[in-house]
Amino acid sequence: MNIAAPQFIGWAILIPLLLVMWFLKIRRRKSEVSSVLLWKKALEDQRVKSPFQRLVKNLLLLFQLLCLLFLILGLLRPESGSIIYASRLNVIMLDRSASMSSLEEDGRTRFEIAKEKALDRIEEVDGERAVLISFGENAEVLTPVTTDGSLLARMVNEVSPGSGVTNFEDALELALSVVRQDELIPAAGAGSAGTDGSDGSEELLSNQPDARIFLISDGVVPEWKGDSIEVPVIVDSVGFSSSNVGIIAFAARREFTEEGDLKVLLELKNTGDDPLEGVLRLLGDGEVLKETEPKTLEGKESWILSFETISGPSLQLEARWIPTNSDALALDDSAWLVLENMRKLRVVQVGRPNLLLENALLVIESVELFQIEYDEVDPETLASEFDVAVWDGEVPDELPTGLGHLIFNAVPKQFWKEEPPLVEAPRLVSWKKEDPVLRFSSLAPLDGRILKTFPLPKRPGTSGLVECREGSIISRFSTKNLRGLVVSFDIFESSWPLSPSFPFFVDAALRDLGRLNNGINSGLRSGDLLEIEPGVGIDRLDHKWPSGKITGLSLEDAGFARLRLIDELGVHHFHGLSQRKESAEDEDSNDFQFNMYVPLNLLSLEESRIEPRPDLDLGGAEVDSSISGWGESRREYWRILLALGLICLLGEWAVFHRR
Amino acid sequence: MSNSEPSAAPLLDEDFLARCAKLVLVSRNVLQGKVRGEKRSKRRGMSTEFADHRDYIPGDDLRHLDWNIFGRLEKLFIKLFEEEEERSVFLILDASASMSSGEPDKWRHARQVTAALGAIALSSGDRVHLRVFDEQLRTPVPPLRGSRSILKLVDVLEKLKPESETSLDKSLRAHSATCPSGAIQILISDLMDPEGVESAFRQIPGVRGESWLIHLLSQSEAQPDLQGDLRLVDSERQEHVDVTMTNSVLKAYQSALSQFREEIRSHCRRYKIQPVEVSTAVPFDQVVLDVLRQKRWLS
Repeated sequence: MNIAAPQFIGWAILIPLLLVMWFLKIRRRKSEVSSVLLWKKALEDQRVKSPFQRLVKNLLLLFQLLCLLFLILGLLRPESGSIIYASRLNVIMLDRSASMSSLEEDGRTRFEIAKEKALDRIEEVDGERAVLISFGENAEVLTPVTTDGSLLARMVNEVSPGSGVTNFEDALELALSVVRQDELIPAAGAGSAGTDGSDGSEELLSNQPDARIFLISDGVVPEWKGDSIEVPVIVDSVGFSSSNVGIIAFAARREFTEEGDLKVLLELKNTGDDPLEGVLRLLGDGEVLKETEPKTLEGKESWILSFETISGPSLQLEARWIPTNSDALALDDSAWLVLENMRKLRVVQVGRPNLLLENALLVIESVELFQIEYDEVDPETLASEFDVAVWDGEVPDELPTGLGHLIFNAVPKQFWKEEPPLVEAPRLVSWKKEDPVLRFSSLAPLDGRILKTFPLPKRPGTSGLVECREGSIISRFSTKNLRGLVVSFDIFESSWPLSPSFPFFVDAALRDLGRLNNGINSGLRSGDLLEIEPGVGIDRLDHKWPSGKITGLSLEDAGFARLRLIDELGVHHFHGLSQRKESAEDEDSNDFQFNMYVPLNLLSLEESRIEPRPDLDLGGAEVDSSISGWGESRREYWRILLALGLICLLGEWAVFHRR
Repeated sequence: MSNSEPSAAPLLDEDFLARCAKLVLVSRNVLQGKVRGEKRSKRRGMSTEFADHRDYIPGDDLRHLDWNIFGRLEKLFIKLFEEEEERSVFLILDASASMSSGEPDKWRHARQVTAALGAIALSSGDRVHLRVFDEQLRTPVPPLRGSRSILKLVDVLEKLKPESETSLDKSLRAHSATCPSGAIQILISDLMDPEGVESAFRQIPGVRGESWLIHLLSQSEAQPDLQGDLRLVDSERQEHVDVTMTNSVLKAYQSALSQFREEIRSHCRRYKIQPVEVSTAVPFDQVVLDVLRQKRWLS
């Protein structure tokens, strides 16, 4: 038995103090008797018979003394065993991935069963140290290493099932790091290293061969490919159901055909052994766009489905598998896409009139072209009005942020401070054919055919796309809030504008710099990182979840936000208003509104495969049955003492009111 | 008449006095008094009942000369008659402060018993001496004689106030110095004297006459009904004891009381004193008319 908090022994002074107060506090009622002769004799006889009779008979004092005694003992925190020497570490890993939402025959989900098993394990390791880790798309340590079973149980009850894939590697790495970190706990009474000339590392505990990992999961975890696990991993498998059809792929692209404007691709798979029947329904903003005939998927059968449909003005596209008889996992029965409006790219051409460049820009159908003089440029409003600025011959020293820059025959001073030397008819050495900008462009017309150019050297934040020996004649620069391409020669001094590759280059460059996509947002998987950059003047966004709840999201100083969407599959909506909008005179303007729809899908074959895999073997060390009895593990008694103290207090109260 | 009557009421009422007139104190020994009374004495004297003859001595009253013997024998004999002497009854009342406490009122009870015994004695022609004491013998009340003195006796008793400590030994020592032998001594007291009773009882031995003791305790002394944390204050000495009343304490008190009473009885046997233990719970008329008659103190 140890005393964990001996500093509280000073409170024991309260016991004699209570006795003194007790004797002082008694307010005796005066009562006159003819003589105290007989009373004296009676009391004397009684004292002789039993000197402690008074104390015993005085239940009030007795209860108060016992109450005080128990409370002081509780403060001292007596404990048996030792947290360091005698208590092994139990790492309880609780799977909260999407597959754990599968329904079992008894009507409970696997996660509810897993929580029950976790509580059983906590009860089993009562008195030993334990730590709780939940894992799904990411792993999280929910409690510190503790012997407090109630804390562990409380945290187990607070964990909710997730909707992501199983990131088992991270989870097991985290569990092993907890075990390894535990080895670094200094032994009790170990002095600081070197005070007596000894090596401090010797004072650390040796490896923890007695640590255990309890893995409570449905077994839908990938094969462990990491290092050998040095501690036993005890797997508690949950779940027996296997009947499930899930959507494992969902994609679409805009393709105008006679049958519609949208081509949709879907893949479903029956991951169980029994045939399952159902229909697939495609919904646009909740309205049914297409529904298949009932289809029976045999065990392990995949169903790849491709069709055209008319999306119309729909914004959200949902594919929903509706089983005739419900399957075990509902999370993989739906998937979402977001159809974004294909607006035209707003491009501003700055500088002198350039017919060749203008022609190249005008042939691009998705571009809305504006032209302004260099002196008319307002750097503050440029980003809010245009997606890409095309500079020709002149470029400001400080490029405006928030839009892309395509620069011809000028050098942005932010990246290249010194004037590069002119080179005549340079020979091309290499170009990056896989870069999206150059993917469809042949640069052969440039090889030795540029009259003069000023090749740019490589600088921080820059990369060369097309290089000659002296430097890059087409360069890319990119920082956190600046992006652009520099063509370091006058297109009039080359034959490139006459080549078909030029408009392809301009088109690809504008698409790349303008960040326009194909109008289909296929979304994220649970746990993926999402970056949002709503633009100037917005410092806060409203996040509307698929369930309808709305939370706030503050942007960082640079005007963007990063977050991981981990829960609630469906379409998440981010909405923001710029400060200028709030004070603008024209309330109807949409220019300063920001809307972003992000679909969050499961689309995981591994999670849809819910069949039980009880033979999960992670190759952990063997469990040493000889150390199954842990009677020496630490137990604290303060709760018992506190309870006894309260009982005494109740007794005192009862006696007091019975008098 | 009962204990519930108010303390302002007369100690004795007329009905009770009428009943007392028919009673007489019964003494086992023949008494000797200085005044002729109604009780037979060892001494021969003036009465109508012949007792004996003796030789004439000059100066004898010739009215008692037995002329018949003189006619036959020509010798002078004086007729002696049984002389009826009066008895002295000493009522020794404890008027210490301890007699004033207790429920029902012990002091009134003591005075009523004293008055009743005094009335009986006066009604039967005895001379009554009322001796009142506390820490010492108070100024003696002149002896009372005859039924007419009953009211005076009651009046004296009603005016008495209990006060001071108890000193039985000192008081009875003073009493015994003036008490003739053959008198009836009746001590009415609670005997709450921390110095004990033995030396006091030695002053009033029954061998010199009749010594009776009425040991009077109040109901609250015999069966205390106390609870809680108490400071018991002595009515005489301003001493106190702190006590938390529990069953064991009350039992210990009862034990001490029994022991005290047994000691009293023991001393009484030793000094030929006839004791009667009386509680104020028993009405005084019942004490006089029943208890004392059963003890054959009265007939």
